[in-house]
Amino acid sequence: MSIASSPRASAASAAAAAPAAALEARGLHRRFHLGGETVHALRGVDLTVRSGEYVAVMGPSGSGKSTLLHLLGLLDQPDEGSVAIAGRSAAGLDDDALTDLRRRRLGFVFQTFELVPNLTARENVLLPAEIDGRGAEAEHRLEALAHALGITDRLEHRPDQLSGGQRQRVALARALINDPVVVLADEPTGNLDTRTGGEVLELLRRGVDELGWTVVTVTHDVRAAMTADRIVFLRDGAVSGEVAVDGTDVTHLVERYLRG
Amino acid sequence: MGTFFAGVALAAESIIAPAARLAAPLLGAVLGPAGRLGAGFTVRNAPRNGVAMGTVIVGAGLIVGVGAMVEGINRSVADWLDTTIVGDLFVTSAARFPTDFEARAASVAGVGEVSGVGLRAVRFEPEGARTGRTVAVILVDPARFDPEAGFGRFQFIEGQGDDRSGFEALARGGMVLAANTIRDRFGVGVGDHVRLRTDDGFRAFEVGAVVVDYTGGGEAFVASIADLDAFGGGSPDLFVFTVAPGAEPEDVRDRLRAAFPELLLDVTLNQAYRAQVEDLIQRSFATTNSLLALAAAIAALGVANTLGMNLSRRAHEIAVLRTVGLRRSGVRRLVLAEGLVVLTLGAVLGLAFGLLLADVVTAGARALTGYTIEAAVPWRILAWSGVFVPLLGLAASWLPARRAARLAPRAALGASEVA
Repeated sequence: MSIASSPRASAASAAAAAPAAALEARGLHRRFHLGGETVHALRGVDLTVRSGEYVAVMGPSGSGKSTLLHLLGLLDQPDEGSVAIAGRSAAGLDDDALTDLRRRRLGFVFQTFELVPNLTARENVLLPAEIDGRGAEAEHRLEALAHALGITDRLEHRPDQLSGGQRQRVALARALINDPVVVLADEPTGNLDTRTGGEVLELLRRGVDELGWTVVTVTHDVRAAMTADRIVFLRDGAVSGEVAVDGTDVTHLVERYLRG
Repeated sequence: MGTFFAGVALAAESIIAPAARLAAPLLGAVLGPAGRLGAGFTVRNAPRNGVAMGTVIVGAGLIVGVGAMVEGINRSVADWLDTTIVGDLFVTSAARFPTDFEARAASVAGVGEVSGVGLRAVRFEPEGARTGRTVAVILVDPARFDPEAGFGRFQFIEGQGDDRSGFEALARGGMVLAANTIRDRFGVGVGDHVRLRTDDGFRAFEVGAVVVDYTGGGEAFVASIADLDAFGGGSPDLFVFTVAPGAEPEDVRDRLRAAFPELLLDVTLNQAYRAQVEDLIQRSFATTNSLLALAAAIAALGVANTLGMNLSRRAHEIAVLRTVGLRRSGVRRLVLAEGLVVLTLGAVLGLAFGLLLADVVTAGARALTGYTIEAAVPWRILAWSGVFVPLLGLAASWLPARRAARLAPRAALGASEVA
């Protein structure tokens, strides 16, 4: 399968020269008040993701992975610190502005796919573009993405007529339809069998390599994390370390971080 | 009727899906992608929305059905007022009218014709009934109803007399015209005799015609003023005036008051008199109107409640839509679209079934009130529905939409971990 070109593909080759990071988080703090108790979910997390980079975030349950993903995805506001997407700070933006920024600059992939059941795969993919008022323009991009993700012949099917792997490919196409700066994936292989999950990971990897996608994924799955360029470890709401995945076997390092 | 509505409510579920699909392009055009999504939500929530739609159908059906009855009554009364209550001034007095009142009043400047009317409560003994009942007897000047020269007219029930025979019956004296309600309740027709109590005891009066009359709740007879002595005597209780061409009723009213200061005349202009009669009828249906408003409110609450329940099930999905970029206003439009589909479809079907049921409701009302009424298409209600249904949709959707718009998008990603 070949990966089709995208408007951002040409930018990929120049990624190293890009002045602004695709995603930049500085000093993120997030506290939750639960039953009279304050849970400090994030304690000053810094994270920079370069354009064209594939970063996996790992950590035990309760380490703050999902909270971090919410903040990076502009789905929640930090108590302290800031998030910037392609150099544009989200600090101080109202809900509509945050929503617009999320729609135009971010793509989301969920563990449980989260496709709209009564829409066809085509309609699901086009949804963010239609909400953005660019549904017609996105048709051409849809065809390219469908071809790249191997779902061209499934576009007129509804989600319940698709396999898990096909649904996640449709979800990935939806995440990419507005040509986002970063794709945020929450356990993208968590609901897939090993083989299908492997295919989705391969797609992500090839998208990053060939099209310059920028991906941040939160995962428990060491195998999924090992397809990234870099693994960031969280523990007790803070970054406890990171490992560059450079082709050498870093499994022992990953396990060490996960064990704490 | 209850079974009928229950059937409609149960069938609603199967109607809602194709209708929502049909409405999707229109909703998409008006409300954007959120409108299309809302139509999709409607389809997926079809079972519950079907029940809500059933509530709307019942509510709208009752509103139209009863509205058609009320409209029929209003129209009948208006027709009756147009034909029978003709005159420019209606004059009563707290004091007894002197015997020469008619002659003196006729000489007042601007007065056209003067016609006395007696209004008496009289015992009526229907044939075969064990007890009698009190009815209204309206004693009129036959000349007023002369087909050639009079200014008054009756509405005759088909086959039960006409202008000529009605006039002749009154002119002959000793005969009555029966109100249509009397005919409906007691089977009285032309040529029959009815027993009315006079000053000399019960006396049989031949029925010369059957006419529409709403006096005394429809239980009334019309007789000649020449028979006034048989029903208590004295002077007429009311005088109907017309004004001469070119004269203003208000001026004539003032002159009459000035001419008879000792009588403290109570002069009502035609419009006011009509309004009084119409108001009397309207007040009889005030409770009905309140019930109709209640039916509309219940239907709206039913829709609001259903939308609320739908949201509880769809909260996660709405959060996902927020995540992929739907603004809060988009979520509100989505919920509104669902509310509009349910309410509009329910209202349209309700209106249609209401029109079918109008005859049933009207027949029930006829039996209850005794008025002879025919159902009439309540155009006013239908026209207002065009305005109110979308407004009701907005109102019913408002709270659920607000609740949905407040859903935090992070709920979509929150399954794996709290913190």
